Amino acid sequence: MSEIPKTDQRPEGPDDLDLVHRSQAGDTAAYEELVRRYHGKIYGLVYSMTSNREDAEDLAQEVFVKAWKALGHFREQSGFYTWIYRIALNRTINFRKRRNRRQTVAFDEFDPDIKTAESYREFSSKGSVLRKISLGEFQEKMNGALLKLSEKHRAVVTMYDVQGMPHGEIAKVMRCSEGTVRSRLFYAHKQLQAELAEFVK
Amino acid sequence: MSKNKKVKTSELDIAGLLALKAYEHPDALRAEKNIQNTMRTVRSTSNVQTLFPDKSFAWMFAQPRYGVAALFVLFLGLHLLERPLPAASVGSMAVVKMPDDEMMASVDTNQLKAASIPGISSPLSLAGEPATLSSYLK
Repeated sequence: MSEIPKTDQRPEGPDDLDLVHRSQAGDTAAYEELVRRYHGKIYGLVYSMTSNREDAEDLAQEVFVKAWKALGHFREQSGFYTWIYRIALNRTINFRKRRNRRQTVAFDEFDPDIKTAESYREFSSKGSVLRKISLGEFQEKMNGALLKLSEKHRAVVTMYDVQGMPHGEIAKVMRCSEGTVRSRLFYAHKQLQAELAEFVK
Repeated sequence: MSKNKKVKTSELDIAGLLALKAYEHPDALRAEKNIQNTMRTVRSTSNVQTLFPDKSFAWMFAQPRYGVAALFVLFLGLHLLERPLPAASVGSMAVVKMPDDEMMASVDTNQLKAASIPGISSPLSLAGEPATLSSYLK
Protein backbone atom coordinates (compact mmCIF):
# COMPACT_ATOMS: atom_id res chain seq x y z
CA MET A 1 0.00 0.00 0.00
CA SER A 2 2.97 2.26 -0.48
CA GLU A 3 1.14 4.05 -3.32
CA ILE A 4 -1.29 5.74 -0.95
CA PRO A 5 -0.14 9.24 -0.09
CA LYS A 6 0.60 9.65 3.57
CA THR A 7 -0.39 12.76 5.43
CA ASP A 8 2.87 13.15 7.34
CA GLN A 9 4.75 14.15 4.20
CA ARG A 10 5.93 17.74 4.47
CA PRO A 11 4.45 19.94 1.76
CA GLU A 12 6.72 21.90 -0.51
CA GLY A 13 6.89 25.69 -0.37
CA PRO A 14 6.64 28.00 2.60
CA ASP A 15 6.00 26.67 6.07
CA ASP A 16 2.36 26.39 7.20
CA LEU A 17 3.03 28.71 10.11
CA ASP A 18 4.52 31.34 7.84
CA LEU A 19 1.45 31.16 5.62
CA VAL A 20 -0.80 31.34 8.68
CA HIS A 21 0.96 34.50 9.94
CA ARG A 22 0.58 36.13 6.54
CA SER A 23 -3.08 35.07 6.38
CA GLN A 24 -3.69 36.50 9.84
CA ALA A 25 -2.47 39.82 8.47
CA GLY A 26 -5.13 39.57 5.76
CA ASP A 27 -3.02 38.10 2.93
CA THR A 28 -5.56 36.10 0.90
CA ALA A 29 -2.87 34.78 -1.49
CA ALA A 30 -1.13 33.08 1.46
CA TYR A 31 -4.44 31.65 2.58
CA GLU A 32 -5.15 30.37 -0.93
CA GLU A 33 -1.92 28.42 -0.74
CA LEU A 34 -3.09 26.83 2.50
CA VAL A 35 -6.47 26.03 0.92
CA ARG A 36 -4.80 24.39 -2.09
CA ARG A 37 -2.45 22.49 0.21
CA TYR A 38 -5.20 20.98 2.36
CA HIS A 39 -8.30 21.02 0.19
CA GLY A 40 -7.85 17.43 -0.99
CA LYS A 41 -7.43 16.10 2.52
CA ILE A 42 -10.29 18.07 4.04
CA TYR A 43 -12.55 17.18 1.14
CA GLY A 44 -11.52 13.53 1.51
CA LEU A 45 -12.36 13.50 5.21
CA VAL A 46 -15.72 15.19 4.73
CA TYR A 47 -16.57 13.04 1.71
CA SER A 48 -15.83 9.82 3.59
CA MET A 49 -17.95 11.05 6.48
CA THR A 50 -20.95 11.98 4.33
CA SER A 51 -20.62 9.79 1.20
CA ASN A 52 -22.10 12.66 -0.76
CA ARG A 53 -19.94 14.78 -3.05
CA GLU A 54 -22.22 17.85 -3.10
CA ASP A 55 -22.38 17.90 0.71
CA ALA A 56 -18.63 17.36 0.82
CA GLU A 57 -18.01 20.34 -1.46
CA ASP A 58 -20.30 22.60 0.57
CA LEU A 59 -18.74 21.47 3.83
CA ALA A 60 -15.16 21.82 2.58
CA GLN A 61 -15.94 25.37 1.51
CA GLU A 62 -17.62 26.10 4.85
CA VAL A 63 -14.61 24.72 6.75
CA PHE A 64 -12.07 26.91 4.94
CA VAL A 65 -14.22 30.02 5.28
CA LYS A 66 -14.77 29.31 8.97
CA ALA A 67 -11.03 28.75 9.45
CA TRP A 68 -10.30 32.05 7.67
CA LYS A 69 -12.63 33.92 10.01
CA ALA A 70 -11.21 32.16 13.06
CA LEU A 71 -7.53 32.49 12.16
CA GLY A 72 -7.16 35.21 14.78
CA HIS A 73 -7.98 32.63 17.44
CA PHE A 74 -5.39 30.13 16.17
CA ARG A 75 -2.94 29.92 19.08
CA GLU A 76 -0.33 27.65 17.48
CA GLN A 77 -0.74 25.07 20.25
CA SER A 78 -1.20 22.55 17.45
CA GLY A 79 -0.31 22.58 13.77
CA PHE A 80 -2.58 24.34 11.30
CA TYR A 81 -3.27 20.95 9.78
CA THR A 82 -4.57 19.51 13.09
CA TRP A 83 -6.54 22.67 13.80
CA ILE A 84 -8.36 22.72 10.45
CA TYR A 85 -9.00 18.98 10.64
CA ARG A 86 -10.70 19.56 13.98
CA ILE A 87 -12.88 22.27 12.47
CA ALA A 88 -13.76 19.96 9.57
CA LEU A 89 -14.65 17.09 11.85
CA ASN A 90 -16.83 19.17 14.16
CA ARG A 91 -18.59 20.86 11.24
CA THR A 92 -19.29 17.51 9.61
CA ILE A 93 -20.65 15.96 12.79
CA ASN A 94 -22.90 19.00 13.34
CA PHE A 95 -24.01 18.87 9.71
CA ARG A 96 -25.00 15.21 10.12
CA LYS A 97 -26.91 16.03 13.30
CA ARG A 98 -28.74 18.88 11.56
CA ARG A 99 -29.66 16.55 8.74
CA ASN A 100 -30.93 14.17 11.39
CA ARG A 101 -28.88 11.42 9.75
CA ARG A 102 -31.03 11.61 6.63
CA GLN A 103 -28.73 10.31 3.98
CA THR A 104 -28.52 10.65 0.25
CA VAL A 105 -25.43 9.28 -1.38
CA ALA A 106 -23.58 10.63 -4.41
CA PHE A 107 -20.20 9.07 -4.92
CA ASP A 108 -17.07 10.35 -6.57
CA GLU A 109 -15.54 8.36 -9.37
CA PHE A 110 -12.57 6.12 -8.66
CA ASP A 111 -9.28 7.45 -9.93
CA PRO A 112 -8.26 5.35 -13.01
CA ASP A 113 -4.87 4.91 -11.31
CA ILE A 114 -6.54 2.45 -8.96
CA LYS A 115 -6.05 -0.27 -11.58
CA THR A 116 -2.31 0.07 -11.18
CA ALA A 117 -2.42 -0.01 -7.38
CA GLU A 118 -0.90 -3.07 -5.79
CA SER A 119 -3.78 -3.49 -3.36
CA TYR A 120 -6.34 -3.35 -6.16
CA ARG A 121 -4.47 -6.02 -8.13
CA GLU A 122 -4.38 -8.13 -4.98
CA PHE A 123 -8.13 -7.79 -4.40
CA SER A 124 -9.00 -8.41 -8.05
CA SER A 125 -6.88 -11.53 -8.36
CA LYS A 126 -8.57 -14.86 -8.82
CA GLY A 127 -10.93 -15.77 -5.99
CA SER A 128 -10.63 -12.36 -4.32
CA VAL A 129 -13.31 -9.85 -3.46
CA LEU A 130 -13.13 -7.55 -6.46
CA ARG A 131 -13.09 -10.49 -8.86
CA LYS A 132 -16.70 -11.21 -7.91
CA ILE A 133 -18.19 -7.73 -7.97
CA SER A 134 -17.63 -4.53 -9.88
CA LEU A 135 -15.83 -1.52 -8.47
CA GLY A 136 -19.15 0.35 -8.40
CA GLU A 137 -20.80 -2.37 -6.30
CA PHE A 138 -17.79 -2.44 -4.00
CA GLN A 139 -18.04 1.32 -3.55
CA GLU A 140 -21.71 1.13 -2.72
CA LYS A 141 -21.28 -1.67 -0.18
CA MET A 142 -18.21 -0.18 1.44
CA ASN A 143 -19.71 3.30 1.79
CA GLY A 144 -22.98 1.80 3.01
CA ALA A 145 -21.11 -0.13 5.70
CA LEU A 146 -19.16 2.98 6.68
CA LEU A 147 -22.34 4.99 7.08
CA LYS A 148 -23.59 2.46 9.61
CA LEU A 149 -20.67 3.28 11.92
CA SER A 150 -21.03 6.02 14.53
CA GLU A 151 -19.58 9.41 13.57
CA LYS A 152 -16.55 8.97 15.83
CA HIS A 153 -15.78 5.47 14.58
CA ARG A 154 -16.17 6.56 10.96
CA ALA A 155 -13.89 9.53 11.55
CA VAL A 156 -11.15 7.31 13.00
CA VAL A 157 -11.43 4.80 10.16
CA THR A 158 -11.33 7.57 7.56
CA MET A 159 -8.31 9.29 9.05
CA TYR A 160 -6.35 6.11 9.73
CA ASP A 161 -7.25 3.67 6.96
CA VAL A 162 -8.20 6.00 4.13
CA GLN A 163 -5.95 8.98 4.77
CA GLY A 164 -3.06 7.24 6.49
CA MET A 165 -2.82 9.52 9.51
CA PRO A 166 -0.88 8.21 12.52
CA HIS A 167 -2.72 7.40 15.75
CA GLY A 168 -1.11 10.30 17.59
CA GLU A 169 -2.28 12.85 15.05
CA ILE A 170 -5.83 11.45 15.10
CA ALA A 171 -5.79 11.65 18.90
CA LYS A 172 -4.85 15.34 18.70
CA VAL A 173 -7.61 16.07 16.19
CA MET A 174 -10.23 14.25 18.23
CA ARG A 175 -8.88 15.45 21.59
CA CYS A 176 -8.70 11.97 23.03
CA SER A 177 -5.96 9.49 23.96
CA GLU A 178 -4.17 7.27 21.48
CA GLY A 179 -5.64 4.32 23.35
CA THR A 180 -9.13 5.58 22.59
CA VAL A 181 -8.21 5.95 18.92
CA ARG A 182 -6.90 2.38 18.79
CA SER A 183 -9.96 1.06 20.59
CA ARG A 184 -12.33 2.90 18.23
CA LEU A 185 -10.38 1.58 15.27
CA PHE A 186 -10.60 -1.96 16.60
CA TYR A 187 -14.37 -1.80 17.10
CA ALA A 188 -14.92 -0.06 13.76
CA HIS A 189 -13.00 -2.80 11.94
CA LYS A 190 -14.94 -5.42 13.83
CA GLN A 191 -18.23 -3.82 12.85
CA LEU A 192 -17.12 -3.48 9.22
CA GLN A 193 -16.14 -7.13 9.22
CA ALA A 194 -19.65 -8.00 10.33
CA GLU A 195 -21.27 -5.66 7.80
CA LEU A 196 -19.17 -6.91 4.91
CA ALA A 197 -19.05 -10.57 5.95
CA GLU A 198 -21.29 -11.72 3.14
CA PHE A 199 -19.47 -9.59 0.63
CA VAL A 200 -16.03 -10.76 1.74
CA LYS A 201 -16.94 -14.48 1.49
CA MET B 1 -2.61 -20.48 15.56
CA SER B 2 -4.18 -20.94 12.17
CA LYS B 3 -7.37 -19.37 13.52
CA ASN B 4 -5.40 -16.31 14.71
CA LYS B 5 -3.71 -16.06 11.35
CA LYS B 6 -7.10 -16.21 9.63
CA VAL B 7 -8.49 -13.42 11.80
CA LYS B 8 -5.43 -11.26 11.15
CA THR B 9 -5.67 -11.83 7.40
CA SER B 10 -9.34 -10.86 7.48
CA GLU B 11 -8.54 -7.64 9.40
CA LEU B 12 -5.89 -6.81 6.87
CA ASP B 13 -8.44 -7.29 4.13
CA ILE B 14 -10.71 -4.68 5.68
CA ALA B 15 -7.84 -2.23 6.06
CA GLY B 16 -6.77 -2.89 2.48
CA LEU B 17 -10.29 -2.44 1.14
CA LEU B 18 -10.64 0.78 3.08
CA ALA B 19 -7.37 1.99 1.60
CA LEU B 20 -8.93 1.70 -1.85
CA LYS B 21 -11.27 4.51 -0.85
CA ALA B 22 -8.31 6.85 -1.11
CA TYR B 23 -8.74 6.54 -4.87
CA GLU B 24 -12.21 8.06 -4.78
CA HIS B 25 -11.50 11.59 -5.99
CA PRO B 26 -13.59 14.45 -7.29
CA ASP B 27 -12.52 15.23 -10.85
CA ALA B 28 -9.88 17.94 -11.07
CA LEU B 29 -12.22 20.54 -12.59
CA ARG B 30 -14.76 20.09 -9.86
CA ALA B 31 -12.12 20.39 -7.16
CA GLU B 32 -10.67 23.52 -8.78
CA LYS B 33 -14.12 25.09 -8.99
CA ASN B 34 -14.67 24.33 -5.31
CA ILE B 35 -11.35 25.99 -4.39
CA GLN B 36 -12.21 29.05 -6.45
CA ASN B 37 -15.66 29.34 -4.85
CA THR B 38 -14.03 29.04 -1.45
CA MET B 39 -11.50 31.77 -2.24
CA ARG B 40 -14.21 34.05 -3.64
CA THR B 41 -16.07 33.78 -0.33
CA VAL B 42 -12.83 34.24 1.62
CA ARG B 43 -11.93 37.42 -0.30
CA SER B 44 -15.35 38.91 0.44
CA THR B 45 -15.03 38.10 4.14
CA SER B 46 -12.84 40.02 6.53
CA ASN B 47 -10.81 38.03 9.03
CA VAL B 48 -9.89 41.05 11.11
CA GLN B 49 -10.88 40.41 14.70
CA THR B 50 -13.80 42.51 15.81
CA LEU B 51 -14.44 43.76 19.31
CA PHE B 52 -17.54 41.61 19.48
CA PRO B 53 -16.89 38.21 17.87
CA ASP B 54 -19.89 36.93 15.94
CA LYS B 55 -20.99 34.46 18.59
CA SER B 56 -20.44 36.48 21.73
CA PHE B 57 -24.10 37.47 21.97
CA ALA B 58 -25.54 34.26 20.62
CA TRP B 59 -26.66 33.22 24.09
CA MET B 60 -28.89 36.29 24.24
CA PHE B 61 -30.92 35.06 21.33
CA ALA B 62 -30.73 31.42 22.32
CA GLN B 63 -32.22 32.22 25.75
CA PRO B 64 -34.43 35.30 25.22
CA ARG B 65 -35.42 35.58 28.89
CA TYR B 66 -31.79 36.10 29.89
CA GLY B 67 -31.44 38.59 27.08
CA VAL B 68 -34.47 40.56 28.27
CA ALA B 69 -33.21 40.41 31.87
CA ALA B 70 -29.79 41.69 30.78
CA LEU B 71 -31.38 44.53 28.83
CA PHE B 72 -33.51 45.46 31.87
CA VAL B 73 -30.43 45.59 34.11
CA LEU B 74 -28.60 47.63 31.49
CA PHE B 75 -31.38 50.20 31.18
CA LEU B 76 -31.79 50.41 34.95
CA GLY B 77 -28.07 51.05 35.26
CA LEU B 78 -28.18 53.76 32.63
CA HIS B 79 -31.22 55.33 34.27
CA LEU B 80 -29.49 55.46 37.67
CA LEU B 81 -26.36 56.91 36.13
CA GLU B 82 -28.36 59.72 34.66
CA ARG B 83 -30.59 60.39 37.68
CA PRO B 84 -29.13 58.96 40.90
CA LEU B 85 -31.54 58.36 43.78
CA PRO B 86 -31.92 61.43 46.06
CA ALA B 87 -29.97 61.20 49.32
CA ALA B 88 -33.16 61.85 51.30
CA SER B 89 -34.76 58.69 49.97
CA VAL B 90 -31.94 56.54 51.29
CA GLY B 91 -32.44 57.74 54.93
CA SER B 92 -30.20 57.18 57.92
CA MET B 93 -30.10 54.01 59.89
CA ALA B 94 -30.80 54.17 63.59
CA VAL B 95 -29.88 51.31 65.86
CA VAL B 96 -32.12 51.32 68.88
CA LYS B 97 -31.25 48.99 71.71
CA MET B 98 -33.01 50.22 74.82
CA PRO B 99 -36.66 51.09 75.13
CA ASP B 100 -35.76 54.57 76.39
CA ASP B 101 -33.48 55.09 73.48
CA GLU B 102 -36.14 53.77 71.22
CA MET B 103 -38.50 56.38 72.52
CA MET B 104 -35.89 59.08 72.00
CA ALA B 105 -35.05 57.79 68.59
CA SER B 106 -38.64 57.77 67.56
CA VAL B 107 -38.97 61.29 68.84
CA ASP B 108 -35.88 62.28 66.89
CA THR B 109 -36.72 60.58 63.69
CA ASN B 110 -40.47 60.74 63.66
CA GLN B 111 -40.88 64.31 64.67
CA LEU B 112 -42.36 66.20 61.88
CA LYS B 113 -41.03 69.60 61.26
CA ALA B 114 -43.88 71.94 60.73
CA ALA B 115 -43.61 73.47 57.39
CA SER B 116 -43.11 77.16 57.68
CA ILE B 117 -45.87 78.91 55.89
CA PRO B 118 -44.62 81.97 54.15
CA GLY B 119 -46.22 85.18 55.32
CA ILE B 120 -48.74 86.74 53.10
CA SER B 121 -47.26 89.84 51.79
CA SER B 122 -49.69 92.30 50.40
CA PRO B 123 -49.19 92.88 46.78
CA LEU B 124 -48.34 96.35 45.68
CA SER B 125 -48.18 97.68 49.25
CA LEU B 126 -46.73 101.12 49.50
CA ALA B 127 -44.69 102.42 52.42
CA GLY B 128 -45.65 99.60 54.71
CA GLU B 129 -49.35 100.28 54.43
CA PRO B 130 -51.53 97.26 53.91
CA ALA B 131 -52.75 97.12 50.42
CA THR B 132 -56.38 97.70 50.02
CA LEU B 133 -58.50 97.32 47.03
CA SER B 134 -58.84 101.03 46.71
CA SER B 135 -55.08 101.58 46.88
CA TYR B 136 -54.66 98.89 44.30
CA LEU B 137 -57.12 100.52 42.01
CA LYS B 138 -55.54 103.94 42.36
